[in-house]
Amino acid sequence: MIKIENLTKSFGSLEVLKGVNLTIDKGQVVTIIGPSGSGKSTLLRCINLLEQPTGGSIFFKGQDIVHDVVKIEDVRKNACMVFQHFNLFSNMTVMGNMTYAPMVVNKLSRQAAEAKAVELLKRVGLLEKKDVYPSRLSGGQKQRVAIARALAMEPEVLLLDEPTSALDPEMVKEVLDVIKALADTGITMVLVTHEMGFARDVSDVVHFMDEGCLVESGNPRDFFTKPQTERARKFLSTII
Amino acid sequence: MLDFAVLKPYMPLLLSSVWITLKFTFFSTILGFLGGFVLALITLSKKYVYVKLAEIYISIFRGTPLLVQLMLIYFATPQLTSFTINALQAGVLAFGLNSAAYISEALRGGILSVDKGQWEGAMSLGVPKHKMLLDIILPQAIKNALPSLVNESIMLLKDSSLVSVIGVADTLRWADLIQAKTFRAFEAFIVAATVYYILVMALNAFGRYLERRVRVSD
Repeated sequence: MIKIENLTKSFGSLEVLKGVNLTIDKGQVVTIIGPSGSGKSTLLRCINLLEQPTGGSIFFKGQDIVHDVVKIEDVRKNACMVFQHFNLFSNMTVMGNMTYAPMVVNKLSRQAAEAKAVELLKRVGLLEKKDVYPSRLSGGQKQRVAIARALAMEPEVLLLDEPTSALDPEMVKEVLDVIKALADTGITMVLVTHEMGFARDVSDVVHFMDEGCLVESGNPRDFFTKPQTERARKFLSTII
Repeated sequence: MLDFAVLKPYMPLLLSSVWITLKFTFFSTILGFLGGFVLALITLSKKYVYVKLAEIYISIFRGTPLLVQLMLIYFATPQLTSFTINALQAGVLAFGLNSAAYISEALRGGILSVDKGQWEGAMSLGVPKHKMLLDIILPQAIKNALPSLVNESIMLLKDSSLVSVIGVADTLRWADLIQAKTFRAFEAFIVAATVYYILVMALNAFGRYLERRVRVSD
C-alpha cells in the first residue's frame, strides 16, 4: 500500500534520511526501531508529509505523493498520526477533539460524528471522560483519546510516533494494550517505538534504522533472537 | 462652594454624550480587532513584501502620537480626496487604524505562544489551514492575549476623549461645554472623570469575566 523509494531528507546540511527503501502492505503492523537520531521519526513524518522529503518517492496506493500534484490534506486524512506529546486540541473537550476533524474534513454530520466518537471512546475505555477538557486527563488517557481521535478519521494507515515515550511508566501499559487490541483488528499501522518487548509481540515486520539508513528488516522473532547485522546486534545488546 | 445642582439641566445631554463615547469606543475596537487580526496574520506569513509593509504600518502607527494621526485624518482627508469626513468617522478611522497596530502585536504574541503540537495535531488529521487557524489556534491565541487585549480596549475608551478636540460631542466635550456655560469647571470635569472611571471599571470587570470563561479548559 505504501512504497518508499530512495527517500532522502536533509535539514540544512544535516542529512537525516540517506536513501530509505521500504514497503508497507495493507493490514501490516510495522515497527521502526533504532537509536535516537537515527531518522525513525523523520521517516514517519514524511509519510504524511509533515516533513517534505528532499528526494526520492513515496507511493501511497500507487500515487507518488512527493512529486505528483496532490492535495496535502488528502494524504494526511488517510495517514493520521499519533504523537509522543498527544497534541489534543486544548480548547476543545474530548468529544470536541473526536468530532472536529471528521466533521470538517470528512463532512460527517454532527450526529454521525458523535455516534462514531462514542463507539471509539468505548473501545479505549474513556467514554465517561467525553465532556472534560484534555488538561483534566492523565498522560495515558490523553494518548488513548489521541488514538481514538485518529481512528475517527478512518485512515488507511495509522502512524504512531513514540506513543509511550512521554508517559509515566505506570501508564505505558494502558496505551500499549489499546494499540495491541488495534493491531489485532487488521488495521495498517506504522509504529516508531522504544518498547522492544512490545515491538516483538505486536509487529509483523521490524525495521531497524541507524544513522539515516534502513539497516535491517525482518520478522520480529528472527530479528530479536538472531540479528543479521553487527549494528543491530550492538543496538540490541545495549538495550536488553 | 461646590454646587452640583447647576448640572441638573444638562443631565440628558450627558447621557447622549456618554452614549457617543461608548459607540465610538465600540466601533474603534471592532475596527482595531479586525485590522489587528489581518496584520497579525500578515506578519506571521512568510511573504517578505507583505511582512515588511505590515511592519512599516505598525511602526508608523506606534511611532507617532494618536492625536496627530487623528488631526491628519480629520483635516487632511478633505484636502486630499474631496471627501468630507465627519468628526466621528475620522475618529473611528484614526483610533481603529491605531489600535490595529497594537492589537496585531498582542495577537501575534498570542498566536506564537500556542504550542506547535496544536498545529501538527490538526495538520495530521487533514484539517485545512484556514480552518485550524480559526477553530484551534485563534481561540487559544486570544486566550493567551486576553489580558493585553482588555488593556487595549481600556486604553481606547480613555483615549476616546481625544476626539472632543475635533468637535465630537462626547463625554469630555460635554464637560467642556458645561463649564463654559455655568463657569463650574470643577463640577463639570469631575463628573466627566467619574463617568470615565465607572466605564473603565465596568470594562475591567467584563475582562475578568471573560478570563474566567476562557479558563474552563485549564
